[in-house]
Amino acid sequence: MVRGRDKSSSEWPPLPTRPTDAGGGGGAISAERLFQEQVAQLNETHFLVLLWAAQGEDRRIRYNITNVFDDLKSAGVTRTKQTAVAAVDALHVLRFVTVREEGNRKNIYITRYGAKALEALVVGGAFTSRRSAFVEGQ
Amino acid sequence: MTIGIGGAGGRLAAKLDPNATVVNVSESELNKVDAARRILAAVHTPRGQFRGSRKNPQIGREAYGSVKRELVELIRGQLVFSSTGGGTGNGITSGLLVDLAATEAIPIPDKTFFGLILPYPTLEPAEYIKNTSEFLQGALSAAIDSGNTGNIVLFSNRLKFESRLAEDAFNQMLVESLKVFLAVPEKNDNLRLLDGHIDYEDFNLYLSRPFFNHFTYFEYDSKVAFEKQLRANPNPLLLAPEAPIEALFLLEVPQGGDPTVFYDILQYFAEKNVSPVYSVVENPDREEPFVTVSLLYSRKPAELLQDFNRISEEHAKAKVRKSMEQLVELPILNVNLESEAKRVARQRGGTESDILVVLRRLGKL
Repeated sequence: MVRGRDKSSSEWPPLPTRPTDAGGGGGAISAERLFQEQVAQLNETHFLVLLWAAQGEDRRIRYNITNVFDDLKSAGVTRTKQTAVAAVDALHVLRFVTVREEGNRKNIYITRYGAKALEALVVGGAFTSRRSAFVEGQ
Repeated sequence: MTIGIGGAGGRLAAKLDPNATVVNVSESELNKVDAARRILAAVHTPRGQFRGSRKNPQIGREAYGSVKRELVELIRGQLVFSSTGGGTGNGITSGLLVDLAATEAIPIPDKTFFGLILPYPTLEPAEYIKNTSEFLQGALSAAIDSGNTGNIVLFSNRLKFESRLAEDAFNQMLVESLKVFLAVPEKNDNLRLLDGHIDYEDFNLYLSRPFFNHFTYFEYDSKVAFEKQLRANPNPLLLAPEAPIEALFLLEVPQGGDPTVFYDILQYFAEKNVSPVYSVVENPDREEPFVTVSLLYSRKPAELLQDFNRISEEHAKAKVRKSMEQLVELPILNVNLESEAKRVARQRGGTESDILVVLRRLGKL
């Protein structure tokens, strides 16, 4: 099966780009600012998951949570599956990745916002990229 | 009875005494020796005991546990031969010496005479030298300090290597030499006694003294000073002696010969403050006076050890020198750190622009 681009992100409502009153009495916060803050909170584990998910998608390889754990372990970032799941979960909640259940596997696809976040991290030089043993090995 | 431990010790013991007992960890080595009794020291191995200790004394020491009870009884008052360079002889004999050292007191008739074959450091492998150093420093030193051994004869492989002798021929020389020394009480008994006496009891008492024994024999010329002759005729099969503490000599004079020539020998020992045990006999088979001399000396193993360590160090220096001579000159590499860092980054997972290209290709940027 050929896996195409993540279409789900296009279904999301557009994020507001101007200050709104939606925040109540605490003062308005722009979508741009929120995005920057979200990106600023990402750590190396999130960065690597985004990176490897993008590389996997580019090579048309299904990249799932187990692969994330194996790669993080081989890169020496973590030794627990819990951390890998937590990182994917956080990215999913932030809508930076989509997790799709395909054939009993939870495959990860990077969203447009995820791509922007990854771009920001790469341009900012926050983290060094590392090789995914799974993607490279395919 | 004679006991031979390990390959070299076993072969020497079997050559000296047809009733010898040999001990080894290798079954195939044991079967090669024509001895009256063979004892296989057990080692824990899944492959059967056809290999020896492979120059590793630890294997011999472990195997000693299986024969300890039997050997400790067996060696009482006997001759034990072993080499110090290999694994089995060194390991098992170390075990024996340590046990002897720990024993309270051993009666004189039960003291064991040890014949130790030391490697020739200049030409033998470094492992042999290292094993010997440890043996001298550890077990032998402890045994000598305890005073629970009999005489210890330090054979040297020097002549074997310098004269390029086959092991069998060299062992034959050792055996012939030992036989001359061990025949002293027999000659005293069988030949006409002219002065002094060394009976079996005296001889065994002498053998039970816990010192190194250097024995030698030569035709005695009464016109030349004994000291000069002794210095000119050391036993080439043994390590050189130090100043004697005790001594023994048997002088054989031809029939009708002058029996008073031994006064010169007594004079020599008197000057050294040594009162020798001696015997002068008439041997009709001799044409010239013939003297068999034994000197007991107490050269401490620490000093012996220094010799071995010094030679071992020379070995190591020679090895280092040789490896330095073989050093290949390496060409100078000009490394550009920037390009090298980029290359490493590429290897690790791509550069920044690569990642952005991927994202654009995916249509997500």
